[in-house]
Amino acid sequence: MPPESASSANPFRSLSRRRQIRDGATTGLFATFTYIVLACAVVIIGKICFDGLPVLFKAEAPFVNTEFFTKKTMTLNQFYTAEGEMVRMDNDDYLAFKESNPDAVIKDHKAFSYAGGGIVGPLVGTMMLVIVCMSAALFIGISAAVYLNEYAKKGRALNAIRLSIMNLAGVPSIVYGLFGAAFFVHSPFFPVFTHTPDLEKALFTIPLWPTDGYLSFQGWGSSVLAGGLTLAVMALPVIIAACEESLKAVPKGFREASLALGATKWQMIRTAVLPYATPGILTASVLGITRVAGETAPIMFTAAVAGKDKLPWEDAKGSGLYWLSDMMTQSVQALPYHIYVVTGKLPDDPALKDMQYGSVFVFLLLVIGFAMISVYLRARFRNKLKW
Amino acid sequence: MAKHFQRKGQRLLGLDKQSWIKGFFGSNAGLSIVVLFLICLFLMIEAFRFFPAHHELLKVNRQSGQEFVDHIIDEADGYQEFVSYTNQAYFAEYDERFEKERGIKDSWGALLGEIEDNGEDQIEVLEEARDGDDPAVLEKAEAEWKAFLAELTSEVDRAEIDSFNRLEEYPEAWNDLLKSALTYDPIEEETPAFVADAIKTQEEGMKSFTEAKTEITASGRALKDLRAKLVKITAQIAEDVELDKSAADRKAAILEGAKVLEGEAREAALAEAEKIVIRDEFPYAERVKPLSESKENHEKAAAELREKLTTGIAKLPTKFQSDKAAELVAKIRNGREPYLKNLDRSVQKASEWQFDEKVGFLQSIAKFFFGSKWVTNSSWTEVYGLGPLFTGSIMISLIALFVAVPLSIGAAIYVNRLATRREQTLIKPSIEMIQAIPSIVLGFFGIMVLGEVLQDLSQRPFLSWIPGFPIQDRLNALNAGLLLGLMAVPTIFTLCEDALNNVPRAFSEASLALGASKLQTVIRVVVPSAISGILAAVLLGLGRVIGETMVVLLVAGNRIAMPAWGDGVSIITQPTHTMTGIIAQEMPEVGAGTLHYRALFLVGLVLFSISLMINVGAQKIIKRLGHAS
Repeated sequence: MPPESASSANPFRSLSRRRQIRDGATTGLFATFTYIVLACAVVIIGKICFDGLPVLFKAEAPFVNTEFFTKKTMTLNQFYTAEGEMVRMDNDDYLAFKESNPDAVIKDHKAFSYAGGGIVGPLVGTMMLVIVCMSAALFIGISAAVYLNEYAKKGRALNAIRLSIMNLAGVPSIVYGLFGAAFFVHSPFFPVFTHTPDLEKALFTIPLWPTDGYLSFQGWGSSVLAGGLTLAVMALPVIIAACEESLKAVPKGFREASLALGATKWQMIRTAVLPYATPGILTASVLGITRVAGETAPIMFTAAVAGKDKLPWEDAKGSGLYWLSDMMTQSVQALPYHIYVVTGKLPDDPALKDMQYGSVFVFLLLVIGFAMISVYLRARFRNKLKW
Repeated sequence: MAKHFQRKGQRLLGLDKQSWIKGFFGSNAGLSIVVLFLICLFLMIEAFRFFPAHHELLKVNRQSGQEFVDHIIDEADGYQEFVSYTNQAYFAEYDERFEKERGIKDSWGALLGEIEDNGEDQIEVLEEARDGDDPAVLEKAEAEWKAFLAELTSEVDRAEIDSFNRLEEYPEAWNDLLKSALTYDPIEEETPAFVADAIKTQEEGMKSFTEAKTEITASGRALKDLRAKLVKITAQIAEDVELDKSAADRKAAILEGAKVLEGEAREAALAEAEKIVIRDEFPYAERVKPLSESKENHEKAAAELREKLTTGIAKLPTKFQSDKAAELVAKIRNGREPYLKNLDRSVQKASEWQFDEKVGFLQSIAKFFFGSKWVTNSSWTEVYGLGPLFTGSIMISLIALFVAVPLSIGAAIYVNRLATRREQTLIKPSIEMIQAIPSIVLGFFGIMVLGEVLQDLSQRPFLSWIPGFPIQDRLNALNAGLLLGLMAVPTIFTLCEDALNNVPRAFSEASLALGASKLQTVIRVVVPSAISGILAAVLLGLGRVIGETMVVLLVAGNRIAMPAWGDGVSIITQPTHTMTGIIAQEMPEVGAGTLHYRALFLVGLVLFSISLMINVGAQKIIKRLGHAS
C-alpha cells in the first residue's frame, strides 16, 4: 500500500514554511500589543516625571524644592518689571515685595488662584482622608472577611452578602460620591460636638452638661469625615476580598490543631488565624490606600475644596472633643482634587505649568510608590510563608 | 488545661460570648448589604422625587406658552446656522477669488479712516478755505493738506492694520493706493478709478453668491422678529407666575413689617400690601392669548422661510475656488432637507400647542429619558434630557473598548501562552501597575499632552483618510476614549489571563499531541474554552469605562449636544459630554433639593443601574458558559 501522503505519514514533521511564518507573525502581533500597552504607560509616566522633576528638585543645595512641600496653596502673581523681565511670585512674597518697594514698576499684572505656593494643604488633606477611610474600611473589612471565611455557612445569607459585595465593587465611583453627598453630607443623622449648633439643619440637639456645648445631629456637611467614610464604603469590597484571600491562605491544619487543643472559635481565630494572616492583611491595606488616595470623584462633593488658607488643625476651634469634632467636620484640600482644579477649572496658562506638573508628579510618586510597596510585600510574604 | 474546655461563660441576652463574637463579625459582613441598600435608597429618594417636579415644570412650560416659543426658538436657531454658514462660505470664496480686490477695497477704506481720524483739523481748515474766497488762504490750506497726506502716507504702519496685510503680496497695488491717497480730496470724496474697478470686479464676480446670500438672510427675518416678540411676552408671563406664587408670602411679610412702622410709612406699607392681589389661579387663558393668536403668523413666517431658503440655496453657485466654501455650501445643501422636515414637524407641533392641554406623567418621564437636550444654565428655561449624555457615555465607552479589547486580549494570550518565563514575570506586574495610575493623572495627560499630539497628527496629510481628521477640538471623544481604553486594559487583561489560566492543561496537551502547532492550540482550543471568562472580562471592562469620571470630565470636551449623526464616523472626534461628567461638573454648583440636584441623582441612578446590569450580566455569562472548561 502506497503512503497516503507524505504529510500524514509523519506526525512529528516540522511545520510547513507558510505555517511557520503565519504563526510567527501572529505571535509577533500579540507581542506588539503587549508592548504597545507598556509603551503607553512608560510614555505617560515618563512625560510627567520629565516635566515634574525640575519643579521638585533644583541644582543647588538642598536640591529639593522644600517650599513646594511646606507652603500652603496661594495665588500666583505674574508681572513684568520696568526692564521687561517677567517675574512670578507667590502671593506672600508679592505682598512683601510691594510693601518694601512701593514705587516698583509692575506691568501686566496677572493673578492665578491656587497656582502658587506649595501643596502642604492638599497633602495633609489627602492624608487625613486616607487615615479616616482606612481605619473604617479595615475595621469593617477584616471583620467581614473573618465572618465570611470562618463563620459563614453556605446558604442564602452568605449568597446575598457575596452578591452585594460583588455588585458594590462595580458601582461607579461618582455614584459613591452622590451617595456620600446625600447620606453623609446632607442628611442630618450624623452628630457633631459643637458650641453653636445649627438649629435649622439639626434634627435634635443634646446639651452636654457640664460643658456649654451640644451634641447636635445636624449632619457633617462637606468634611473629612464624610469624604473619608465615602471612600471607605468604596474601598470595602477590595479590602474584604483581599483580607479573605489572606485568611484563606492560612492552612486548615492550623485551625484544626487549635480547635483540637480545646480552643474556642474566637481563641482559634485570634491565636491561630489572624497572626498568620496579618502580612496579607497589611498588603491588602496598602492596596486599599492606593485605590483610595487616587480617587477624585467621590470626594468632589463630600470633602474637597479648591483652596484653604489654614490647615485643618489650625482652623479648628474649641478644645478637646469639640476641637477634634470641628477639625474632622471641616472640608479639606486634597491632592487629586487640587490637580483637577489647576488643570480642569482654571483657564490654561503657561504660568500654571509648575504647579500642574509638580502636583501630578508628587501624586503619581505617592500612588505608584504605595502600589509598588504592596506588590513587594505580596511577593515577599508569598516566598516567606510556605507551610 | 481544663480552662480550654470550658464551654459555659457569662450569657448576655440569652447568648454566650461566642455567639456575640460571631454576631459582631456577621453584622460587619452584613454591612455590605446594608450599604448597597442605602445607596439604592438614597439615590432613589432623590431621583424619584425628580419626576413630579419635572412634570410640574413641563406643565408650567406649556401653560405659560414657553413650549410654543421653544419651537420657534429652535426653528430660528436652525435658520441662523444656515445664515452663518452662508456668510462663512461667502467670505471664504471671496477671499480666495478676490484677495487682491478685497485687499484694495478694505485697505482704501482703512486708509480713509486713518486720514479722517488724524486729519480732522486739516479737513476743517481746508473746508473753510474753500468756502471763503481768499486765494492765499486756500493755497496755504491746500499745501498744508498735501503735506499732511505726504506725512501720513509715509508713516502708515502696514503691520498695524489687518486689511493692509491682505495686500502683502501685491506691493504694486499698495503703491498705487498710497499714490492715490496723496491726491485724495476730502471734500469731493472721490474714489480712485482702480479702487472703483476693483470693487466693481468683485461685485460682479460675487453677484450670484451675493444674491443667494441676501435671499437666505432675508428668509427668516419674519421668524426672527416673531421670536423676539414672543420671547418677551413669555418671559413676562413666567415672571408674573413667580410673583403670583410668592404673593401671599410677600403680603404677609409687608403686613408684618408694617406693624412696627408708624404714621405715613405705615400707611404706605399697608397700601402696598393692599396692591398685592392673591389669586387662586393664574389667568393663563388671558395672558397667553397673544401667543395663541400668533400661531397663524408663525405658520406664515415658516412658509416664507421655507420658500425663500429653498430658492436662496438653489441660487448658490455650484463651482468654487475655495475648498472651504465648497465644503460649507455642501453642508448647507445637505442640511436643507432635514432642516425643512424638522421645520414642518416643529410648526405642526407649535400649531397643536394648547395651553390648557394636560401633560401626561408618562410623557414627562419619557421626556427625560429620550430628550435630546440638557440645558441648565440658561435664564430662559431648564431642560432635562438624558439623550446627549447617554450617547456620549456610550460613544466614549465604545471607542475605549475598540482600543482596549484587542490590546488586552492579545496581551493576555501572549503573556499566558506564548511569552518566555522572564517576560511573564516582568510584564504581568507592569500591566497591573497601570491600574494604579489614578484616573486624574490620565486625564491630566490627556488635557496637557495627548490632545495636542492628536491634533497635530490629524493635520498630517497622510492620515487624512481617518474619519474625523483633521480634528477641530483638542478635547474630544476620541481623546477620552483612547485614555479610557488604556485604563480598561489592566482590568480586561487580568481577568482574561485568569480565564486562560483556568483552561485545563489536558486541553492544550491533547491538541499539541494531535500535531497542532502552538499557536493553533492557543487560538483553536485554549481561547474558545476560556471564552466565557473573556466575555465577562470585556463586560467588566465596559463597566469600568462607563463609570469613569475624571478622564471624561477633563478630556471629553464637555459639550452637551447630540452627536451630528450626519457626519458619520467622524462624530468620534467631536467634543461630547457624559453621564458621569455632568454629575461631577454640575453637582457642586446646585443647591440640595432643587430640581437640578434631583435630575443629577436620577442620572446617577441610571448609571448605577447600568453598572449593576453589567455586573450581573458578567456573572451570568460565567455561570452559563463556564461549564465548558
